[in-house]
Amino acid sequence: MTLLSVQNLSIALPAGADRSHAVSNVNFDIEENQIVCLVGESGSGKSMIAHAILGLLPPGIAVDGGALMFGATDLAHLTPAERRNVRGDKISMIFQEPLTALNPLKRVGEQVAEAIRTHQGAMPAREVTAKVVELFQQVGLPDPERLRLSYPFQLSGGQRQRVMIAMALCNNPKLLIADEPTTALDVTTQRQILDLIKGLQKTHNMGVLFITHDIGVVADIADKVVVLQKGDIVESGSADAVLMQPEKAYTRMLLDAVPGKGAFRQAGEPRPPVLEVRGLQKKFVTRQGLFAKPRETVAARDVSCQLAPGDTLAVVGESGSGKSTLARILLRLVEPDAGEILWHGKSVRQMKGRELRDFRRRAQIVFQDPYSSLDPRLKVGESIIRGPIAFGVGRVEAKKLAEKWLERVGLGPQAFDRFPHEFSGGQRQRICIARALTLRPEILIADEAVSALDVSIQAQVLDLLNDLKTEMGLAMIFITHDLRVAREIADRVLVMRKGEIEEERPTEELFENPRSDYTKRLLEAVPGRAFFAARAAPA
Amino acid sequence: MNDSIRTFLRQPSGLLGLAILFLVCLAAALAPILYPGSPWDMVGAPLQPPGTAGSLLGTDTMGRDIASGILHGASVSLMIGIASTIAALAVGVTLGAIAGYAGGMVDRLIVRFIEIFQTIPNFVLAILLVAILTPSISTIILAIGLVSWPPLARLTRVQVQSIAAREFVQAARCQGLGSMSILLRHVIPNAISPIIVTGSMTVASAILIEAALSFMGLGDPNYMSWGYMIGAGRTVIRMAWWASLFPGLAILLTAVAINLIGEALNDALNPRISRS
Repeated sequence: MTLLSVQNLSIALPAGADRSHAVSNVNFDIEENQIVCLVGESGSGKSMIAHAILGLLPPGIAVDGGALMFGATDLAHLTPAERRNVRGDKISMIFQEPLTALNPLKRVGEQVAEAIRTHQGAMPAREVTAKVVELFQQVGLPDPERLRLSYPFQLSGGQRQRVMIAMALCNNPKLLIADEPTTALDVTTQRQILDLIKGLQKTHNMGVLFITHDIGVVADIADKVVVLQKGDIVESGSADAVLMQPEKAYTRMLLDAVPGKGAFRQAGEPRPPVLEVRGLQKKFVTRQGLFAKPRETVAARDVSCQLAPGDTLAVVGESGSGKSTLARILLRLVEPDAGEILWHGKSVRQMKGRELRDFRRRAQIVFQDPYSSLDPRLKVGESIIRGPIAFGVGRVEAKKLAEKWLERVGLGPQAFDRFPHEFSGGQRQRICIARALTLRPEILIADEAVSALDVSIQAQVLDLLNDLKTEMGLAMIFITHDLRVAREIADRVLVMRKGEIEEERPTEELFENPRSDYTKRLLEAVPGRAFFAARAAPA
Repeated sequence: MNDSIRTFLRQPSGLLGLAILFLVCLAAALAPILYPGSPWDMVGAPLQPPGTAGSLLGTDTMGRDIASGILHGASVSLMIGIASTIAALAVGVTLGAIAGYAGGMVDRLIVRFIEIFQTIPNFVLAILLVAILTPSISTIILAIGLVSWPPLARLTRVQVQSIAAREFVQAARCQGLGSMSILLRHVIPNAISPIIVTGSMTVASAILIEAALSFMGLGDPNYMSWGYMIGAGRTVIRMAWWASLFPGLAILLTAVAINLIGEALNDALNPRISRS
């Protein structure tokens, strides 16, 4: 039976947006007991469709054509009271960021109970509590009796997402909308949440509308796939058909852009290292008040590694594994507690003043978030030339240099006089790369440099980094949580867990036969692994 | 910046504030032309009601013209408000920025120093300073500046802390820029908008503190000020309401105008509001 039928849906954007409609003429159905995946890059309008179903569109944006038939009711034209009846009862939603989707001042159990009480008014308190505990058990939260009394900040990201799912399930909805529910989570947690959603969907006979940008995730859970591009449906159909025999070039491009499928990179001849790290230790201590015991987080315990020119080392780990701290310690943005960093045999930790500045010039970093890593009040050219000028290059010459690099990263010299907000995420990341390379570094550290980007843009930026690396003989440290990206770009991979090195091996060895159990688990959790293996096999 | 100006001009309350403030400035500018004599001179019989004996707003206990006093007082109030705010900003922003950017021991020391000032009631400290240093326009500005900087320092410190943690600041450090140029060119420009807003409100509160000081007889005896006029008219308020009412209204309007401007600035400098 058809649960939700999206018919010729159009959503109008306010005047002055980059296009007139967020989506136009979208048609698809969700059946009972079926997972439909909406796939598309950022700006494709996939979230808009989900928000339209629950009437959550932001002000100024409205459905201006078509219908959202849920049984006999059209969800696009409901009074606010009718809409409240549907929300959280027959249709419920899980959001991307589980921390901001929960009220930080209320206990999680109470938040779920509130959702139950809203729709089943007269239920006695004890039954509500029993129901909350039962739901927490269903979504696999440990020790539900105790956990329901916790506040959101006391839970991990995965646990919070489980609470969100419990809340979504509390009134046995017919349709569950999941808007990128695993994007903010680590691979292993993502795997668990995907399995949980799939399992619950089966036991509850729910229809699920699952929104994601990750084809790997689609391959793992979808029954049916709808591919969106700039507000139009490119292709839709059963998951097998669309993924195995994509008809449209755009779908093929999305599939091919998923990193980590090509041949392994071979590590070159061993050469003397430009950077050597020995026995690095770092502990963060947070004081929690006058009398409470300070909390300690280990970010690095006895971390050692080496980097030779032309080498790419990927540092892989889950959030909290200390990989980003390692990058910041290497650049002395964070001071380690103990250990040694040697740059051409000289100790970086002893450096001061001029020497330190010279080192920093030769070791550059590209950050994860392309939005916060450029000064919003400066023209991008200005951001780039400040580096060379600080090292005594004349303004005119620095400008020429900056224009050359903007050209090289594919933006053209006219980008020089524009502000960061005029560029997309991928373009900003190119600007950051240009900024780093203008100083002619020997070492480039990329801290999750492609994680915030769409797959197709990700592939372009990875290619660019690869080219530049060979061209300039850069030594690169590539920090990522995504094993697929590591496989694409690295000669060697270093797996970190809770501040310790789990294993460090050449990429091919690590992927073909991982030694540590943790690495094995990480590899198994990569979404779409079976699918891409099957897809690669005949070719 | 254009966006900000446009949002500012779209807000009726901000425009109203600007208009009132413009009138106050006009009054200050026109005072020597409309009332060329000293506002301390006797112009008629004492306690004449408004509109009689050629004085628009009446005369006070000494026969001085209230209208003349208000016009001449405008420049004193504005001058004290602005000068003491500039002094407070200079101290507050400098200390706050150093504390926020340096962190660690320096931060702790500066915060303790700020707390010393915050634990003493503002007004009592101002009275004490003026009384010890003998009342004059410069000691009044000094005293008001000295009690107004701690909130500005605190605000600057938090702003700088949050901006300094952003990645573009780390990127600037990696580019080899020195601390001073990072602080001045990257951190402060991004942290400045709430400081400007609070600064504008500080002008209003400085005018109020000056009025209160003069009310208590701690004003500069060489300058006619609104606070002094209220203080002088206080004893005869039941017979001659006009002697306190009109200067009171002047203070009220000026403070409201500046607050309105401050709030409109707050919206205008907030990119999320100004770009929507």
